[in-house]
Amino acid sequence: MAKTPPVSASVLRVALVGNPNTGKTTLFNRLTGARQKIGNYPGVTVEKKSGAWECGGRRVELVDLPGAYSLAASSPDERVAFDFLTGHLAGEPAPDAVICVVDASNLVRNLFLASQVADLGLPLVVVLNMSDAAEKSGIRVDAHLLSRRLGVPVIRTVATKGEGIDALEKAVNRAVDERVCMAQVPWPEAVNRAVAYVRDGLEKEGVRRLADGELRRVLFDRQSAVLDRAGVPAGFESAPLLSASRDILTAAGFQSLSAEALLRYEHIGHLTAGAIDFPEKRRRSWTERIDTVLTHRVWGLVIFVAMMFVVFQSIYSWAGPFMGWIEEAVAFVQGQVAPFLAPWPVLQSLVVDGVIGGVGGVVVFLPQILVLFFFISLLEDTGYMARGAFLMDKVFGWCGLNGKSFVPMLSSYACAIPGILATRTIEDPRARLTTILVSPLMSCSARLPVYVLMIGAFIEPSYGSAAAGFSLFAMHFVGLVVAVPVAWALNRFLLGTRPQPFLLEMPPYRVPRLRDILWRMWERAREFLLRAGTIIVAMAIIIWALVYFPRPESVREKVEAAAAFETPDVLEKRVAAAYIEQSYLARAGRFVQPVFAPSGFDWKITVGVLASFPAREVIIATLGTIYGIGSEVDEESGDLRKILAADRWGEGPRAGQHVFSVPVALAIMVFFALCLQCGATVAVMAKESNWGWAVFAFLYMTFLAWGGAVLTYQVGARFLGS
Amino acid sequence: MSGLEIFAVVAAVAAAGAYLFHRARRFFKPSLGGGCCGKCPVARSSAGR
Repeated sequence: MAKTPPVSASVLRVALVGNPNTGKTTLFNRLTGARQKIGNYPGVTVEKKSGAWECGGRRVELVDLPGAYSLAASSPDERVAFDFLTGHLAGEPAPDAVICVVDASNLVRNLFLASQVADLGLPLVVVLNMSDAAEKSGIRVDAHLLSRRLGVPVIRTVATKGEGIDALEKAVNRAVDERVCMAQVPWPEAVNRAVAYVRDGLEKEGVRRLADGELRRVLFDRQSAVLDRAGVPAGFESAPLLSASRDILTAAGFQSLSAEALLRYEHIGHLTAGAIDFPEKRRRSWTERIDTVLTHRVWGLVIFVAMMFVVFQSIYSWAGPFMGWIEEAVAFVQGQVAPFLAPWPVLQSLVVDGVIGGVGGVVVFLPQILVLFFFISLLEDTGYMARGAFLMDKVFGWCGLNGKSFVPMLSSYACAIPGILATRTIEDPRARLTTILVSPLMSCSARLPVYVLMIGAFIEPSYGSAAAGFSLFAMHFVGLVVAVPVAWALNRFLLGTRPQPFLLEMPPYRVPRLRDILWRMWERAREFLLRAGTIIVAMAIIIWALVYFPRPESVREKVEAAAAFETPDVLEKRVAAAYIEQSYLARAGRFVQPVFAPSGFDWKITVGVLASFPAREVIIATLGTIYGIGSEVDEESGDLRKILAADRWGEGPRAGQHVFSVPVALAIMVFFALCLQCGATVAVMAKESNWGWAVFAFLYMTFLAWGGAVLTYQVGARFLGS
Repeated sequence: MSGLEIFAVVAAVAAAGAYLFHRARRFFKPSLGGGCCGKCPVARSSAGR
């Protein structure tokens, strides 16, 4: 959970619950002024977040819980909601009141959860959110009548516009002061007898006394979270007790697993009768009409691929001019700083080549990151993300990936960390683990600078800008294509996950709000720059030191003796190159380089690859620093792409040949596409599974990346020449 | 190499090394196994509160 300011005992705790994608987080942001991530697909919030809310003069700690369809709590995110509401989270007392956010267009289904929350005896306020969208589709809800029937305040809101907030504040205060609880289901005698049977059985075993609402969860749920939390003594076998209690239901004519749903929906049906008006003739909504095309078994996929192609083509072409401006700005700063430090050449090299050159080389890719996040936000906020997952399930479901895996996998295209956290929506632990293990294969935004650098330097000059855009698009599919056999192999040989049915609520299409999109772009830009200003700067300084030292005078003398007739400029370049060739970094690089030789990497690429294990962008800073300090490349513009294209092997069997070629560039991109070079992702994988699986993921992805790079280079060299 | 340069280079490398060491320590911190460390992008997104 996100860190929250300390909350005193006098502060009320109010929980926000509701079905997925009903606008809880939008309402949370509106009430607290927070900026939690929102999106138009189910499962955006997977852990609880809290914020301070000034509710009609009262201080409230508002807690946004992950969306849940019921309190049966079958997935980790739903369990968080259940544990919080029942006070089972360590150090977290049960809330003083609950706001149940319901989608006005799906009222009956949404009230199922409200009815379960009511069963826990918590004061409740029902919020009819997105009521404007419901009215547009001809659904009218009589909030006053519904409020009388439910026995709790029913407030109409449009969270995106801030409508209904004043009324909500008054309602929450009233619910807390008067402990207003919702009308409970009139449970039949058989249910009460079964509950009493469970209670007696548990008390005999010394389990603490549970409330009736909790006992009903034990009775109705297939795998109830309550017993785990209630302190059941070790060795206690609950199955016979539960089986006997469910027999009581069966004897009374109820199916034990469907009894709750039937009884609750019957009760909700009575409560809402006459309070909801549906249109006499149901028109096909825009969402349904669009979906006939976008989720079509053939056209849906064609449009998906075409849309992705346009996205990556746009990233490549739109960002180009901005990239040029940043490059000029970096060169300008270097030009301004260098003369000031001229009396101290070592310091000058550290600042100009190491820090500014290294970090500047990374910052240049900010425009691509911004354009990528513009499109990701657009896809998420319109509701297309859920359709993408649906299409992916159709194509790749055969490999045993859980249908629900595709939302986290598509989220991983932005960053693997939220993608891995999003796997909490998956009920089956083995399916969840498979998804965690393959999610980092999706091409996250940190790989984008590497692709753009290689494509800009080698693909575009050889094959044109259309091929460059296509290459960027193809690189983003490499991880997905590889993830499928990997998931299949994990399921088949290691985890034995059985195929799961895919159930995902398709959200209605919505016009995204520009403010939300700009905020997400700014958030990512800030994070990118923060990384450049911290970890990349630190790495650039270390790399600079390793590539600058040692500086024995004998190296200069040797070069000067051998090339005495060269012009001073050429001589200086030769000296700089000679110093680099005997630097600490070069020695280490040459030692490891044979491992990467089959993929066509020289020692500079090798150290770039190795230095990038904490964070992928470091390769750019590394190459920027190495080539900034000196090389024999006759390139005045300072453009790293041109410098790389001009570099040649100085020794060995390939002496005189270009170091970088199209096959080498492709091999580098494939290596980065498949390798787990992100410390933060490994840590989150360990947190969500354990360190053993995190290390396993790191090792299998490293070997996969190496094999992929070797294969790409060898095949590429055969057809395109090395 | 002047005294100032030696001092500047040693200080910069030491600071960079210390920062990376600090990051690496946080990476292996066992607190990750329990509650949220508040450092990942998801947690950071609440910083606007």
